[in-house]
Amino acid sequence: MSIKKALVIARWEFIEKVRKKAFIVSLILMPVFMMVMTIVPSLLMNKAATSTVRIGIIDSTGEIAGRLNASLGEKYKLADGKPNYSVIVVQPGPNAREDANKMVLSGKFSSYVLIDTSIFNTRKFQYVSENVSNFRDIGRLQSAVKDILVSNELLREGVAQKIVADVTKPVDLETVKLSKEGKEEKAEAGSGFVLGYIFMVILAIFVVTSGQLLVRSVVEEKSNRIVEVLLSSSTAEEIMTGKILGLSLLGATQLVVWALVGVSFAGPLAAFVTIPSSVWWEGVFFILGFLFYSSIFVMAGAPVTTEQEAQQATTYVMMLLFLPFVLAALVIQNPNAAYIKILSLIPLLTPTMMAFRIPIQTPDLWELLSGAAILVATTYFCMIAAGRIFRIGILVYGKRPKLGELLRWAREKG
Amino acid sequence: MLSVRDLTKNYLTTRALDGVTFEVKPGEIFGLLGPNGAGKTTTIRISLGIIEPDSGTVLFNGSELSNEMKDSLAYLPEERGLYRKSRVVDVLVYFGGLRNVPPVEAKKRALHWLQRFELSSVANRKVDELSKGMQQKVQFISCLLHEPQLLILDEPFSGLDPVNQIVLKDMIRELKSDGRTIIFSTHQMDQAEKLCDRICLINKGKVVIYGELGEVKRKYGNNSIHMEFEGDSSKLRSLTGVAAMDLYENYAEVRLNDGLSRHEFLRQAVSLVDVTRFTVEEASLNTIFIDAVKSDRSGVENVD
Repeated sequence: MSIKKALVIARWEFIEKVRKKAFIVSLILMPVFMMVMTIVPSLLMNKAATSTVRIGIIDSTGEIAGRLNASLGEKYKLADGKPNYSVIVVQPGPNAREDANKMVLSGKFSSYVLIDTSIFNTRKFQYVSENVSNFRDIGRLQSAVKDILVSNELLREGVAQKIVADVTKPVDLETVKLSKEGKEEKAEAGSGFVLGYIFMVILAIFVVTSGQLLVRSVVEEKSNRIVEVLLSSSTAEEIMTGKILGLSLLGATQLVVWALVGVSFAGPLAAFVTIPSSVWWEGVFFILGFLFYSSIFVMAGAPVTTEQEAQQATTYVMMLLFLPFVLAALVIQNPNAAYIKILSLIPLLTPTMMAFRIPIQTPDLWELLSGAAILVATTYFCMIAAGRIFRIGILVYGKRPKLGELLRWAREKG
Repeated sequence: MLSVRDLTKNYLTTRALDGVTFEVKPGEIFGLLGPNGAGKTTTIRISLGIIEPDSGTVLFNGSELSNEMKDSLAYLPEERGLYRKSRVVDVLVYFGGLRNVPPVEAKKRALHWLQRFELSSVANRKVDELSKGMQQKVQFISCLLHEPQLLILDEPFSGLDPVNQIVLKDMIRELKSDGRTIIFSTHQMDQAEKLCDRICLINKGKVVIYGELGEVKRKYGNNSIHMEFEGDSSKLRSLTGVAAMDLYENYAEVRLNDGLSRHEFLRQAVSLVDVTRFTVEEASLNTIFIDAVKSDRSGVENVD
């Protein structure tokens, strides 16, 4: 194989695609999209409210409403010092509920709570609102009411006021992440998850976009028969190597730009993520994953003739790539479960699984090494098979070959 | 220059090539002729190393095609295509690069050839902004940048208007006088007749006619009789000793078997119809082509 020709092809693939509007747009849009997806929601969630939330209360006991107002007003304040919540009493009576409902629907209350006299025994009360997904408000109300009930009981048992106040003070939890090297670092709860997710999404998008570019360029060259000119001047291996090389360069450009954007926004980002020291393993799995999936895309893309067929072929590959997203929830709960470890060693899942797991809890060294080794070996064989399928597939037009035929091609030596 | 020996190639159920053998001499224009599906393109693809034959060899100047040798070949495929979204000059430089022409040199040559073909104004345009004829000329230029020794052109004239056909024909002549060897494949016999030094006619994967153009015409075309007549044309069908007859209402083109003299044929014909004109003419390559393909199909040549 002539490296020189592979480089000529790589250069062409790179320059022609890097100039395309679609590429430039994705280069800019992608980081914006990632920002919007990951940071903006958390920014909004953590942002202090700007106006007082009015909460109605129908308090049949007559003991809770006032103390709830005091407790919420003392704990939660707006930026300008006004209370975050204001508790407004609705007189209990036969029409109280109806009235309160009207207040909520007309927007005068954001919600109201209904406290029955039985609350001291049942420890149950109701929260009524149009939106019952407001976890922050609900959580605060719940803990405030709980504190009131607890102190109420303690006072009734004759415990001193001062002790009661001490007992019901809030508790602060600080999360510290322990790295493999035994270093301790303060970390926002869930930060590993956010970073892992970002890595996994970037890897998946990165592989899919370059894979589709690869398949589409092969299909274009097949349909306009440029492939015959290419094959009359270079070998199939040179063409394939050139294409993969060119696209890797394209991908690298993309990653560098995104990384620069990431660094320049490091300020707001740092609040939510902690970069683990094992982050360079991410690089290893990025490169291996990219090469491995490239060979799969070559195998899927070389034998097809039309754009539609290409779409179908790449869809199957993409489904494999996105499988770890489904497993994400299981991974966070127990990253060390045996089945997670086994799944991480299946080459099709290794790159994304590892990309996700490393920031959450870096897998053991043996796991990283064996994952990488299996991936290297599989990639090697897939590249050889892809080269053979590519050589025959790029001259096949019309009917899509069956899987059996592809396997036969893969076994045929050049 | 190029020596093709005993090529066979089978696709699943069909035999695409069956013992194809021919030789292309340096500096000549060689016509690879044949009807659609005869195996011309397969022969070309094997010669260029794009596909492998089942058996047989292809030698360039006595040795097998190496990757370095590929740089002195040029190939214009039958179905045309360029990168539609790329600039003309970039595509040309790329194709030059594929044959190891350094970018700077490739660009210089590309601009030179674009000027020769009166395409300088579109050098920086995108390919898909060009007319079909222009694209075809650009593609032809892509075959010239690396100054190849051997050019293989598959149906180079198809889709060109008469003016551009002349431009291309002159260019091919010029390349020949530069000492380059040209193989061109076509089923347009008039073009082949005007350009080729030697031809090879392939039908159903086999070489049917092969040799120097004049010789082929003498050998296969000397018995062609053009006859005008009045009377019942169907009576002529009963004539014996006829190898092939193209019969119309008052006109017939006839090729005789070797055993029958023209004199004897005329005597028979006169007894059946009123002959008004009788000439012996050298058959055109077109007639030879049709004859050969037809008789191959009906098997007449073998029966005799």
